[in-house]
Amino acid sequence: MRTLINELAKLPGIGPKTAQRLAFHLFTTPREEVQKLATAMLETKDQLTFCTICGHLTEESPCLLCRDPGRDHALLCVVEEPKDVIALEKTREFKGVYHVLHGALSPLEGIGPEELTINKLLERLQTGKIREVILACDPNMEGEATAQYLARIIKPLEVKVTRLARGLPVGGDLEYIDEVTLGKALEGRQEI
Amino acid sequence: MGVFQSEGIILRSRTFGEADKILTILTKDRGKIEAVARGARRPRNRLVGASQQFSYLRVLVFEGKSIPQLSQAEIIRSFSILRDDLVKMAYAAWWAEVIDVFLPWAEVNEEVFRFLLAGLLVLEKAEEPALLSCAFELRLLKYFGFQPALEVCARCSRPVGQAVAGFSVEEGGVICPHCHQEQAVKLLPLSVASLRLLRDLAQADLRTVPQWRPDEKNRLEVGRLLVAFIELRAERPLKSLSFLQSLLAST
Repeated sequence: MRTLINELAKLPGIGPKTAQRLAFHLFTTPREEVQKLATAMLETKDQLTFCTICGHLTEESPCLLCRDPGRDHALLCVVEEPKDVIALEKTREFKGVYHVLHGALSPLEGIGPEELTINKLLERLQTGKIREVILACDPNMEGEATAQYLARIIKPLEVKVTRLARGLPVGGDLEYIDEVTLGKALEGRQEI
Repeated sequence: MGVFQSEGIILRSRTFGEADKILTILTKDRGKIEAVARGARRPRNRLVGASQQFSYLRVLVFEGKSIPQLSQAEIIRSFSILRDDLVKMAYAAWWAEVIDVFLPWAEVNEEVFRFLLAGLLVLEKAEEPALLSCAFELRLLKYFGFQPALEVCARCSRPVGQAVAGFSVEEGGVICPHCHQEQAVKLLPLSVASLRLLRDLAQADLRTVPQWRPDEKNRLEVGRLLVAFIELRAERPLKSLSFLQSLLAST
């Protein structure tokens, strides 16, 4: 039991108390349910790999998104992590393909362009099949640095580069929005 | 235990737990502190905009038993221009790291606080930040007690005038030809014009520096020796410096 608690406590967001609760829960759960969980965990670890085209997580490379002929392969959305692909897919608004950078440039952590999949992105762009690149980096300093760096190196290739809009969250209250976000929202206002 | 209010500039921010950030803040009244901004990575959190790097804030910090918590933050100046320009961002990150490395925790140093604030304001408007950075680095070194010897020989302490053999990073300043002849040390080249530039920068009003147009060769010479000087005294690799250098090399 102690080993299980210790192992669970290594997971992100799980403290010793939660680990203990989970361990007791697993103890009282039917064996086949626990078996299913253990198999799912092992299968995920063993079978998932990165897509050789976009860098997203997949069981089979190229991934389903890259193989889908129904998607617009001339529209490329650049994201920092595979979980960003999942977030964007949930919107059902985006019909293009992705490129996962596996990180963001960070001046203070010394993470430079060579540590991301930027060369691979440039290779994809040099095929001439991409019409527009959407930069969907996080709206923080690292994401900003990454977006600017990418815009700088992509623009000479004569590919349209766009950036996700920054502004008000849906359902928010204007008076509680900080001045930077509100400023960006004003800057990116649209005619209705 | 208790609550305190101060003005502060965010030197660095790193992710913590599920949705929190740990901020290193240079405060006016408490020096360099670390505070956790709970939930600051969630889009609707009230600290999300304020907890961006380089933001100049009025902060309310709660000190409990563990790490202090940022309970309120009001933006005085966001310095968003610095985050919107990759080169300026890289310079600001470099300055922030130099301060982070040399300033001990909780050492109150209002001079450094004011100087960083002034530096960021000038950097916002500067078209060419490289020389400004040299002036900034030189002045910071002075505030931290590492001012390089520019008027006297770093070894024999005699006034040197224009006649120097070069700059010794290890000895901490210019070396006169006499000392160099007696015992040769590893020197970085320092031309008469570069020495003059270095001396001018040490006295300069930051606001005027972006308008200076020195010879590129001299600026590079001065920049190189200042970076070597800081690197040696930092005694650890400076990550933002390698980022800045790779960025400048690629442009």
